[in-house]
Amino acid sequence: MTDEQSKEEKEDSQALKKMFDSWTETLNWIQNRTPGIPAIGPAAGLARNSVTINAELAQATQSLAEFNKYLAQYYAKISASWMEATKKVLAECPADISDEKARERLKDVWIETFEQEFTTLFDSEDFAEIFGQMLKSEVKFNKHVRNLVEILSTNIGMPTRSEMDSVYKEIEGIKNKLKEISDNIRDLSKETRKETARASG
Amino acid sequence: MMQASEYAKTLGDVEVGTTPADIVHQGRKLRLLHYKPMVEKTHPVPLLVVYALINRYYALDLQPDRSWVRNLLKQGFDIYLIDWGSAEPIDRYLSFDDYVNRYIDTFVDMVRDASGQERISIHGYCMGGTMSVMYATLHGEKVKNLYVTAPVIDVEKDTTVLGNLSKHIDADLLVNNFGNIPPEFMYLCFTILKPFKQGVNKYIEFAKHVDDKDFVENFMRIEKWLYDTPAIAGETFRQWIKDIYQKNLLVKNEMKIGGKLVDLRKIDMPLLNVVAEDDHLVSPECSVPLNYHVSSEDKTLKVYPTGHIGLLASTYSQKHILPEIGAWLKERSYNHAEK
Repeated sequence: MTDEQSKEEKEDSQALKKMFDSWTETLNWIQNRTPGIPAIGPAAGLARNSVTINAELAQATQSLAEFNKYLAQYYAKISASWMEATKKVLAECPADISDEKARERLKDVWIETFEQEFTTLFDSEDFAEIFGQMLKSEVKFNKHVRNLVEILSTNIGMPTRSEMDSVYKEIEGIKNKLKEISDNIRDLSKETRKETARASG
Repeated sequence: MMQASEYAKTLGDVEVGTTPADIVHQGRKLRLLHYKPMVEKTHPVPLLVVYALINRYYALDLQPDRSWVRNLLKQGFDIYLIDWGSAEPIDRYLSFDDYVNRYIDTFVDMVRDASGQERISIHGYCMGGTMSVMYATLHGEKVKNLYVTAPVIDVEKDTTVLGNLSKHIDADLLVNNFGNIPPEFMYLCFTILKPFKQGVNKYIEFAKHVDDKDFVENFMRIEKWLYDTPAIAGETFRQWIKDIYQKNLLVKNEMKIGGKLVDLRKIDMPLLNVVAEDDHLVSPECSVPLNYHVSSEDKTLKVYPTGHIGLLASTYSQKHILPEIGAWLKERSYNHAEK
């Protein structure tokens, strides 16, 4: 193959790549836009935000999977402690529990042993880590669902949680300003009272 | 057992917080209560009670014969109390700055105006104790005596399950997502505290005494209080977990609220710190260090063999704790000229 042939082939392949890239780009654009062209309202919004919606759904699913993973670990820890406590109670269980006193003692041993076993578990770094992660993945799932609702609310012109939060923040700022002003008024009237008393006395 | 079914019908009606009080201030959710005196002449310096943001204020007045409020009223104190109510969505940005520098400060001024006293006594319980400590560092000129019960101070030394779990909570994620922290989250945390002694045994005891009217009523009052947990304002929860439980900034004198440093060394008024040996919510090791970090010369630490709620609403408290607290407070509730 001559140098010229090789150069031509390279140029062809670049042109081909360019064509495919542009085609892919157009397809992506169409995929996102087509459903939106004739639609007004929610459907237009859904089409415009389909990529974000899909991403949120995927992340929500991932968070749910994570939550299930930690939930399984959580219950594994609980079961292990339950088994351990049960073993200890059985070891201390009186042979005859036919009378009231023996049953009462067994109950006390049961409560005390389970309490100790579970408090040790809940006090452990390991359990706290799993608990924290479980909570985190649950809240993350909630967050993605909330993001989806925000998108849908925006599309149909409803106020969103973020918008409400910004209003709350604004109100909080105004309240603080009011407290500052009323404190100043209070101080000023005190001063005025003192001045008046001084002038008249 | 026949009677038990009759009691069951009235369970929703258990009365709590029955000590007569005037509502001095009524906000959208906040209330400032002023209890009606039970003696002819009260001690001149009034006492403002700052309850926690978790659970409700009526722990101090669950039932007449075990009422913290009633006991101190009978000892001649003029008592005001802040009922925080429940945080609503609009309150999500309320921080310690708002609670301490806005609300508590406003109420302190109201009590000062009403009583004609330049400085008043403040009592804070649990988280309310921590808020009272913050207040005393920033507005010490208005506080004559500081009395705290089980305050959260040095969390590194805390040995409770709550302290352990709090270190692994992503507070930012929770607050950014929920806004206010819903009561359900608090229940989740409470259910793993003493799960068998309190979670199982108390119901066994309840079943045993189901035909005892007094027992059933007492039981229901405590249950009502336990499950009447309000939502907590988001920003406050964020600071509570991150600054206090995770970074332990309060005891290091590095915590800031509203841009102002909370420096425990600025506390120089008489201090009474009351803790419980068997406290499973705030361990004594967490509360006691307050006395080592303040500048007060007149400081007292009292440790009692009871639990978190036992400090307030128990027969033990009525017989042993409140008489001692009343004596401490009475001695410091007069100005020199009034003695």
